[in-house]
Amino acid sequence: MSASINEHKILFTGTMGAGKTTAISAVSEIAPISTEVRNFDLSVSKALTTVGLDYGELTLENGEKLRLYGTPGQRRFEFMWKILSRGALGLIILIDNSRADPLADLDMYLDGFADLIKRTSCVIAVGKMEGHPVPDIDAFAQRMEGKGVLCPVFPADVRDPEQVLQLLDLLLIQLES
Amino acid sequence: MTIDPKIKALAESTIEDLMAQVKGIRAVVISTEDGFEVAARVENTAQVSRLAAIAGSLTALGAVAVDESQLGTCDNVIIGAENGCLIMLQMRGPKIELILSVITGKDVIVGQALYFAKQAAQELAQAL
Repeated sequence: MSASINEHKILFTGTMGAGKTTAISAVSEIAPISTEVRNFDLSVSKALTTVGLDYGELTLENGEKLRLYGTPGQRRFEFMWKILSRGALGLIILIDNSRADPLADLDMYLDGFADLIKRTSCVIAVGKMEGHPVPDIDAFAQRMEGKGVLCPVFPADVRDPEQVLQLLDLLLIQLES
Repeated sequence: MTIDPKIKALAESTIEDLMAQVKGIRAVVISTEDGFEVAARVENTAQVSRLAAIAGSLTALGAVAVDESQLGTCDNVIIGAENGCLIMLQMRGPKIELILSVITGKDVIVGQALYFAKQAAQELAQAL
């Protein structure tokens, strides 16, 4: 079923712990749907992890409704990335700059969502930059340029609803341009 | 990922018993909720690691669908297909929750496979 003309499907992806569930919860006007379960991956200090999807809804001032989907972050759930990409209008990639190799994380999602990025638009949001300033925004931009991808990159704290709304605005502006 | 070796050994024996009880089962995987393999036996070309991750997603989605439908707790997800079926059962213990996934061939009666799979899941859940 396709979305009506004033409804758009937006996808959030990124590493485990980058804030996908948090971002959707921050702005959703309905109780978010979550598929979090206990995390057995000891390499990540996190009690719960999303294994299916997150879902929330947001109505913009112009009456357009955004259906917000979050993907599982781990590559072993790549099949869900493909399922959730269907019909998506845009992608927000959340990067956790405190991880060991944030640029490699970016590569994984640029590759994993290459088809979606090619046909729609994408915004990169880098979190935890205050305590972990490296790699900087330029490094992410250069990495994308090397892959032939042109997307805006911004620092963001997705616990703040205003910042999540800004990311969504940026994505929609990209789509209009 | 750390799983108690006793649970892993029990999971392995559960799989052996189930495959002996129901002829025509192609694969059995026991995995964590977040998609890691605990034990598996595969007689077709199923990739265990992928199946474990898919089982994690599908049972979580099943739980959401059941919750939205106000049907209580989701116990199992069954997918019928041209050449068999996939049965996923949730095993809830006080310390850990696991998923039992059973892939059958098309000659297996779904009800029979489900009956034995449920019995196996209940027995293993008591040890979790």
